[in-house]
Amino acid sequence: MSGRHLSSEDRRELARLTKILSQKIVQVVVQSRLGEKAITKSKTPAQGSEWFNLGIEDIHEIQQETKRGLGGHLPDVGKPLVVEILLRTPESDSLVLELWTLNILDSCDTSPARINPTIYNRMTVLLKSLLAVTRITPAYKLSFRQGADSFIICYRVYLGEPNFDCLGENPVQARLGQVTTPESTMIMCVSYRTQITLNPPSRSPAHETIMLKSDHFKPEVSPRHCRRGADRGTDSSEAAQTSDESQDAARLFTASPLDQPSTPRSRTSRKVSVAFVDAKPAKPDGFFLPDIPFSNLLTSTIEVQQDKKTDKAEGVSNPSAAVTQEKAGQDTGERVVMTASDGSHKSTTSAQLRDEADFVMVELKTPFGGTCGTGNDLGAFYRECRSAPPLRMFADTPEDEISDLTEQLLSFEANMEEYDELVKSFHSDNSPNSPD
Amino acid sequence: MTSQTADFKTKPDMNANTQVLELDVEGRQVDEAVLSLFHTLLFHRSTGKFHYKNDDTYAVGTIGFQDVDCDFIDFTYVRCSSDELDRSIKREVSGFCEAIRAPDAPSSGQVALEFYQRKRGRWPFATESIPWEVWTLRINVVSLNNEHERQIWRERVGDSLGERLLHITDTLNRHDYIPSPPNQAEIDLIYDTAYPDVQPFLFKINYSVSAPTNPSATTTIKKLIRDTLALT
Repeated sequence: MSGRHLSSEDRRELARLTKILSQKIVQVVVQSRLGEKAITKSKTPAQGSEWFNLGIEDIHEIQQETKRGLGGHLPDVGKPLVVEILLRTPESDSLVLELWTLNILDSCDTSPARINPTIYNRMTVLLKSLLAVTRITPAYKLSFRQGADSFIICYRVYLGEPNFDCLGENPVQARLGQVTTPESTMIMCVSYRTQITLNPPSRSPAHETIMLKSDHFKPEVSPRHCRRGADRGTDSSEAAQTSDESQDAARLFTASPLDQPSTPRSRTSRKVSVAFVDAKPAKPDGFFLPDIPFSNLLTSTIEVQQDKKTDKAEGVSNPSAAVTQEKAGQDTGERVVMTASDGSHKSTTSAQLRDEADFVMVELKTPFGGTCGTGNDLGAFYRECRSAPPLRMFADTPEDEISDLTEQLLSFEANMEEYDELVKSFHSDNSPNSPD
Repeated sequence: MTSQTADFKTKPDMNANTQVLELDVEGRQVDEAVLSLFHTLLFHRSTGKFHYKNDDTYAVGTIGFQDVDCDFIDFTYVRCSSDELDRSIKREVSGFCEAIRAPDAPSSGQVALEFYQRKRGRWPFATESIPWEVWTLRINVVSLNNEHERQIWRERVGDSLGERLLHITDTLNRHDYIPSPPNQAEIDLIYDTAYPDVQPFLFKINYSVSAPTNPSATTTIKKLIRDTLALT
């Protein structure tokens, strides 16, 4: 970076502010995708101050993920800060929805702007703009419709050029604002997907010969396995790499209200603590309701595989827990962090993230469509009234009528002579009057 | 982190940064459309409360914020967590909304949010107000025939507000002119210190409801008048 000469103290201060700005950007973007309405209180100086004088309450898990994504570096020319927002289905298909980027340009502010308060205030305005704009993109509304059965929203943080092709056709790109500093110009942009349709992805011919969900019973992608979760214990030096360059694929699932305290998580520990929830004792595996019928049949296979692969994840079996899972042996590993914090998520599922985007399964909830339960009276009533009731004249069963006929025939046979005499009598009665 | 030193710039730019945004909305959407943009502007143009340690060193409080969902527009905006500021803006904006929704009112009007700073005049002249940023919303009220059209319009106005909001944020980040933080004695010349929880730049809201005219001509005339007044 070029720019006018800064004293070492100013340079250090600017670097510090840039680092904190980066962290706050991630917090603002990710918190806006939790599916919750933000509300923070204004405070007087006596009540305490916050960075950039904005009530952005840091969430520890996001902070940790940001530190890993930054890896001790700052955004630089050609290495923008990227916050990627993804949508993921229970079938572990994923779709990149948004790319929030803080780009750095060489051009700089030549005016004698002071780091504090001038640059500090400019960064504050940028964060306010980010807060405002995160509410207007389609993913904001989507984040309120998250559910374990439909989709959840995840995020990735990294330094590096993002792949804009993953946003599908006709993505929208917008510039939120910029901060010019004596060293560089930071430009905050967002690119987002406009087509969130349920199209099946184009697959290779090899895939087409197989049914769409051919990976359904792969142990490593089964929800059962994923709920077991895992945390391999990432080495700190390993974690210092940017996420997309890392050989690990890690996922963090969060599923709890924000107001519960988050517990710090040790990456070197095999015990995984929970994002955004208090540390409750883990519940037994049997507690989970399988999302896929008979998925528990796969349990033994999973355990065998886990024993074999020592670096395979081990899990957390808290259904309301954040689970970090890492999958070994994936060449292009990536770190994806779930943001779903809907309190209704009592369990979350995850699986291996495939490279190609897949279609989105949206749960179809038809009115009155349930097959059981007490709330179906209306449905039963409808079915009852759908056709006209049977006529009463058909109420008697045919068996009764047939038995009556048999009895009548027998009585007729028994009285056959009587009938013959009657006929003869008619004949004889008529004979005297005959012309003969 | 909190202590900052005042860096007082004596002379504001005489030419206020003037922005005009145009919006087509249904009558019942006027309040929310105006409030969403004005609140966004005031969120950017407010700071935490100052607490002076000495004449030019002060600590700054924190601005809380909250999401607001519109009822008649598919739109969510962020505003300062300050009920008093909210009440104040609503009171100012409601006059315009009532005027433009009046039975015999013309179908368009404009409402402006003007940031200004005061300058103490020499005796016998009073303190003058010098605008440094003016945001004018030209509102055209459309009438819709049925509920289906209302549903479409609900989304369309949401998209339209989103575009305007991006324009606002891009403009606000260009740092054309912002009054510098004042010394303690002059804080009331820059900021409205009446609110207990936030400290917006001095602002006022004014409006006019008129028959449709050429917007650029109107703006030019208003600007001329304003500049003339500012110079006197």
